[in-house]
Amino acid sequence: MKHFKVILFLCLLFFIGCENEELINPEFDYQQKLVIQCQFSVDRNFPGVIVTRTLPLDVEFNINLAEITNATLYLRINGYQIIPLHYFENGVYKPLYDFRPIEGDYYELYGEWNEYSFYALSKVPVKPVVRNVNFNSSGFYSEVDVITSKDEVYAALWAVDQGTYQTANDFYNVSVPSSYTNNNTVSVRSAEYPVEYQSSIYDGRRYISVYSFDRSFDAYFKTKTQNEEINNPYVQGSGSTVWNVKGENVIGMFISYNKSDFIFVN
Amino acid sequence: MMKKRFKLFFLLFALIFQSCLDDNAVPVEDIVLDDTAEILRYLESIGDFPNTELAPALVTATELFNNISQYFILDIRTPQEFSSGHIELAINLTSSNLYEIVDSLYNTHPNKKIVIVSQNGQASSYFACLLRLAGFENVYTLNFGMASWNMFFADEWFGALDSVDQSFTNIEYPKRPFTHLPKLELPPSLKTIQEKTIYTITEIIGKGFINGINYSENISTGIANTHLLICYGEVRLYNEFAIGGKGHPENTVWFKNATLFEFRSVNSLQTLPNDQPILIYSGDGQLSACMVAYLTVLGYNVKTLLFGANQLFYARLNSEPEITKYVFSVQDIMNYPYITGN
Repeated sequence: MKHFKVILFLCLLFFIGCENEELINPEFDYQQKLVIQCQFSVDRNFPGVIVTRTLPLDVEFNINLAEITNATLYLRINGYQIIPLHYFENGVYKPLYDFRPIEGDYYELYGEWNEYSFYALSKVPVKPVVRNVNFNSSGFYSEVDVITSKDEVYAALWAVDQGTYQTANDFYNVSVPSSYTNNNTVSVRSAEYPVEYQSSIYDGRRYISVYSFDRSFDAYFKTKTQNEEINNPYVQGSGSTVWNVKGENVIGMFISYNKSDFIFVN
Repeated sequence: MMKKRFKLFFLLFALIFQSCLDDNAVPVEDIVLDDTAEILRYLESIGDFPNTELAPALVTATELFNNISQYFILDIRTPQEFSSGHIELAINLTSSNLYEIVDSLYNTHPNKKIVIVSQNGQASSYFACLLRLAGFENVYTLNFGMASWNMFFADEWFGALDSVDQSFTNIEYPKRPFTHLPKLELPPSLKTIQEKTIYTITEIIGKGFINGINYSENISTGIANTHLLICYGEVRLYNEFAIGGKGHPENTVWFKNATLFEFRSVNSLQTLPNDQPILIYSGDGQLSACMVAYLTVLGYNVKTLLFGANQLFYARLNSEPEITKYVFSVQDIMNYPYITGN
């Protein structure tokens, strides 16, 4: 029984000790954050990295105020190749010369600006290999099986051919393989086609475009709406967006992707 | 009974403890930007001169002769060579005070060009490139050096023209895997990238032009085995297109200059070994001297093959129209007047 009391006491001690004293802060001081943005893929030249800072709520967004012009940025590819990035315009830092990312390569981003430093890692995914294309006529979406590659997740957009391809604005979800290994399969689906493309009367063709991402995209996708402006007064944010750029008071995504061609569904 | 309670509380304890761990604590990678990467970034930020079509900033003897008032002429040959004959108004100096003099001229006459003159154009190309890397955009090198000014100075060039070795091949040797940039050791007192770069360049300039190798003199020492041989230039400097062609010395790796500029950071720069000496040849030795300057600043142990392909395969250089521009011949010698004495 004595043991029982001692353990209870210890539990209480730990529980109290873990309280986060900074949880309630009546003064909502503005905390400037550095914002890093970069999405790159194998089908175009490396687009550069955008470095900006958040502005106080009472300051209207203006790129001239937000952009950072004197940061130090480097890419490191596969642990060796250093590519300096140079300020170009509107917060964009680019390599001096164009180059195209190669699938399977690992890209690290290093950066410094004043007291901020940041780091991110992204593996360039391989082009999705697709099997078993199917149109779900009750849910009005397309789905495919994708053969998995290491450290990748998958998402898909519906598309229709109207002379040029029209696609969904965003993914329905991100499909995560049961293990981040090679040569398994994972089912990937699009969002519902718009009403005008659902009916059997629609005489055009439906397509699907499958994207592969570095696995860090999954956490971002699932949480990306959580930092958006709340328009519904009865809803409140449930947490922070999960970014893959690491650093104190630094947020952002440095993410690579690859995509299939438009795959005919029906 | 007691054991059960004990286990239950242990489980509770573990649960509470785990839930209290701060799951927002993200480990930030150590961001170690070494000096070589910093210098690489700085050199790119001021135009990356060696990796552009401007390199090696050649000025022909004719251009200099016709516009001589537009140039400061800095002759870096020995006082004996200078006194045996030099271009009128040329200033003789040693490499040890080259940087200071160029800096002074650049500041007092920013719009006037500076041409560096050496005996055969390779040392001057080396120093002109170093000075360009230091930010002096008005520095040039006299094409083929004094040898193109007057026949009197052309002995070195004509003495080098030969085909020294016929154990050449057309085998294309692959580039090495990517590796780290060399490590530079710089005084910790240097704070800015510019300071580090200028310090590195002035140190290299102060050592003089010691990065030239004569292939014929060194082939017997096994230089082809100890050094990574690199052809820097167009394909016909690497491969001979005749049947059974023998384009380059064995184990030579080809780096393209035109359009690709493979010493750029986005290309194959870091396939160069950081732990092995490198020997580069180009068409006439002037571009390779410039590239050696650039790579030396980045910490590579690198040398240029003097006279380039003129020394390796002069006959072939003359016979293939695409590469005859690299040939040194009597047509390049202008026989302009020179003066003797100091």
